[in-house]
Amino acid sequence: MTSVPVADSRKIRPRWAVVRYLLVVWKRTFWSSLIESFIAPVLYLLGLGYGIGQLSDRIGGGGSYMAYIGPALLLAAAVQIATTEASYPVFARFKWDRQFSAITATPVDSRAIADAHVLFVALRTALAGAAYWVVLLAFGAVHAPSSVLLVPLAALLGAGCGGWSLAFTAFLVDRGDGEGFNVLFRFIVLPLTLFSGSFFPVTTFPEAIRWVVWFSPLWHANEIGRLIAGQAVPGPWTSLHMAFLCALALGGLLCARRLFRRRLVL
Amino acid sequence: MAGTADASVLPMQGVQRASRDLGSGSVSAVGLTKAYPSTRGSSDAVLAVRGIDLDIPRGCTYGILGSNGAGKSSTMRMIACASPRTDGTLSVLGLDPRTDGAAIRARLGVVPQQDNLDLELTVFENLVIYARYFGIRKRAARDKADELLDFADLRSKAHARVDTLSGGMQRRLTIARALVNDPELVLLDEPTTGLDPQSRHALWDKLGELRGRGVGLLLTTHYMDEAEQLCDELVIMHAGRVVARGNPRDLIDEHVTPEVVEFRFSAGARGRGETVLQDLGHRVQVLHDRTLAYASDGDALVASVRRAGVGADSVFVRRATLEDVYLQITGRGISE
Repeated sequence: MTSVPVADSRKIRPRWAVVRYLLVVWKRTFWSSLIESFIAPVLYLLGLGYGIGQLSDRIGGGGSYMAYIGPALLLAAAVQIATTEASYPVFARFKWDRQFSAITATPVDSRAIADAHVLFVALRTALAGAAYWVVLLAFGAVHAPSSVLLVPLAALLGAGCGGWSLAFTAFLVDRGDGEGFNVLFRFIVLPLTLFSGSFFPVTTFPEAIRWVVWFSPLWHANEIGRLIAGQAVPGPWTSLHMAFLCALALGGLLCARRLFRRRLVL
Repeated sequence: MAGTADASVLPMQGVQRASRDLGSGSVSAVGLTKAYPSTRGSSDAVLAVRGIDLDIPRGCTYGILGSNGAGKSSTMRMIACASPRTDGTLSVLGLDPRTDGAAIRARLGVVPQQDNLDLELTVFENLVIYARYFGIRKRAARDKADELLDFADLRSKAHARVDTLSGGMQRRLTIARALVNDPELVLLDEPTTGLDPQSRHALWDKLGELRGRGVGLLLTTHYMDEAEQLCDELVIMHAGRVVARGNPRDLIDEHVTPEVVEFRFSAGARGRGETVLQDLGHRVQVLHDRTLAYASDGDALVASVRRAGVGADSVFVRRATLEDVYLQITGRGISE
């Protein structure tokens, strides 16, 4: 047995240490998640874009339905992936397997854990978004070179939704065994996906309730997404949409930090 | 440098060097208090630790004994800088957990009550990833992990997923993981609870190995034999307070007689038997199934009881243990 002095030359980068841990965990399912990142968009584009597109294109309104929903599908997937990554796996690290209690026994604190998770979710959605974008290109659902900006947009949206979901997960830790996630998926993620102008314009909503979409991060992202994809021109609201998404991400991060701390420092 | 002469004998230089630093105690606390905020539905805060004093020398193996709910784990969590203290002063390795938590944690090893390993990762990955949290570079982390595989006797399992290991193996891995940063003080919260006797003894050997290297150990336990076997010094906690302190032998000498006789009296004879014992001037402890009497000469006491004509189903004379000290002080068994 050889001597291994480790006390010297230590430089602690707590966030990166945790991100690296999450990457090692991800490595176990990397290929299946990557393949899924390609298969899901293909199925959606065939089923919705091509299938339903046959009907709607007949009704008309300019532009193909595939092109209309393309960017929106990518962004909806980002919301889906971000909330999923930030739910059960994180809950397990709090409660079932308690890796977080092991990590907080080291110089790494709850804040670094929260930051690292937001960062990881952003990375994860960026990669899924990139795969989606490639499929969109292949289907001809996007053309404009600027459409590649959908990838960072997905990461920003993912970080925002991920941050709030992480906070929600920490909130759930001492409230049952994760049953609360049903609320997140059924009553938040699903309605967001359906009613954020992804599959049909929000102008079809009655005027009186149209303001509700202002609360939907996905709607703001869709508005910018269509701009990036060359389907719309910058309007007076563009910077507001962007500001909303930035505020969402920042707020989510701060809220996640706060709840992680409350949960991990007793 | 003083440490170099021993370097060939002792595999962990960092530990050796650190334990030579005998400036101050490794843990000292005065009036240390922990109150948890009231849970929903009740208004009172829970006082888990009610003003305890501790003075733990460096390199010493120190025990905190007590039953469940005595405040052992809360005390450990405060020392581990995982839980802020409510009141009192606390210094760990010369630093204050309130302001230097991360710096202290960098020099501690923590073995929690329940294993919190990453079950989906391999033994080796668990060690390497944990080392990274201490800022240990990749190459050094892998070397350290490799060394710890030997310490934990897990070399053949290096690339097995942790969820395939037995309970005893997981425990050894948790302890090995707590050593990745060459800690100066290792905190072990009930290290052997839930292990079979064989794994328990294997683990004691490992702890003995660490002691031999001069690593300070602070452990909680409710096993008296464990405390007697391992600890240089200990405190007994009860209901959030320290009720006794000292080294195991002194505590026994101070609180109980050298021998203890356990009587199981025949049906109907128990009341009379206990009266006889008290009349003979012995301290008596009544448990639900047997009666303990403290004596300097157990055999002589047994003879006297026989002479008094009290029938007993069984009589057992043994040396007094810490369990008896605990019984004397708190009036009840530790596992009750």
